[in-house]
Amino acid sequence: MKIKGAKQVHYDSGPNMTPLVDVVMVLLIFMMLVGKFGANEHYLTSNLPISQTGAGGTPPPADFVPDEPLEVRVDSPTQDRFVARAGQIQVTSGETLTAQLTRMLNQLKAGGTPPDKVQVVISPAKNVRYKFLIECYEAALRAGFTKVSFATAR
Amino acid sequence: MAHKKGMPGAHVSHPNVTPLIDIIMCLIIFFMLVAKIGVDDGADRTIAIPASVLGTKITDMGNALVLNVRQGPAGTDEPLVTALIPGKGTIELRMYDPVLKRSPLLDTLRLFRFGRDMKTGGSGDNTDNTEFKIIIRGDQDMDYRYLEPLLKTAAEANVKNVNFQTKNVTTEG
Repeated sequence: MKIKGAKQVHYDSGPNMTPLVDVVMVLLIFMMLVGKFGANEHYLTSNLPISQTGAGGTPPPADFVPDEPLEVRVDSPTQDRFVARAGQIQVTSGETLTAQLTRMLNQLKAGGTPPDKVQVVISPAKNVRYKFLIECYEAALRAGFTKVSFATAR
Repeated sequence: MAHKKGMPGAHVSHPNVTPLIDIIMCLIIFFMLVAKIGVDDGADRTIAIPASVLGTKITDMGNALVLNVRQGPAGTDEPLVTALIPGKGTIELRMYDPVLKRSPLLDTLRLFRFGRDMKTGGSGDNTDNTEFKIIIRGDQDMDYRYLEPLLKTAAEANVKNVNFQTKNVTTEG
């Protein structure tokens, strides 16, 4: 008697998914490589970019009360460093400038002057490098001042 | 005689790839939504900008003009300023053009700030844009002598919102 083998069961395997997965993987890698998420850059904002001394321009209104000026003079004895003078103190780094400006702000607060009524004016020499100016600018912001601008070059 | 039940055919099981494709599709949609592809804001990536810890993100980039600033020609205090102007591409904006006897940089800033008439007031194309901002992308080793004319021109154009683009450096870095 012929023993007949069981009828082979054929399962419908459907379409071949492997090429689809390959294409999708390529697309995914493409997106990961060309996209950039939130760039590693941000911005220091200023609403009063430059303060010009001298006469001229639109006269202020009669009841205008000018802000208390606080000058920070910045010089560069050599190209790789800067010297900033705030008040009677001379500093050579952003951290020490922040500390000095913080002290000055506390003194102004104790005298009744709020931070938003103080105008920090960074007065650089012509040869001061931009990166040092940004460092001084950031020091003023870290100290708590909200109005920071640059003066025309000395 | 009863038939003996035969052996069942050999069955090779294939992995179910449907969940894998679902996850990959979700990842692709995620990257398509969050990634910025082909968006050119005119920033010159070859400029080495300074670093700072503090800083904010600007969300309204549509109302901002990126000015790439480098040291200008030797012997002058004029900076080399370039910007991506809609309709014109990336162009150089000089402080003063002796042929035109005008300042292309000042004219450009006034155009964005005050509209086509480049004067205060007006409506339609001449509407003043008080929220217009400029983003200065300056070379970190550039002297202040090159930045000052740009700031003065921005003040002359009554552009009050000036931003300095910096690299984000964390204190833990």
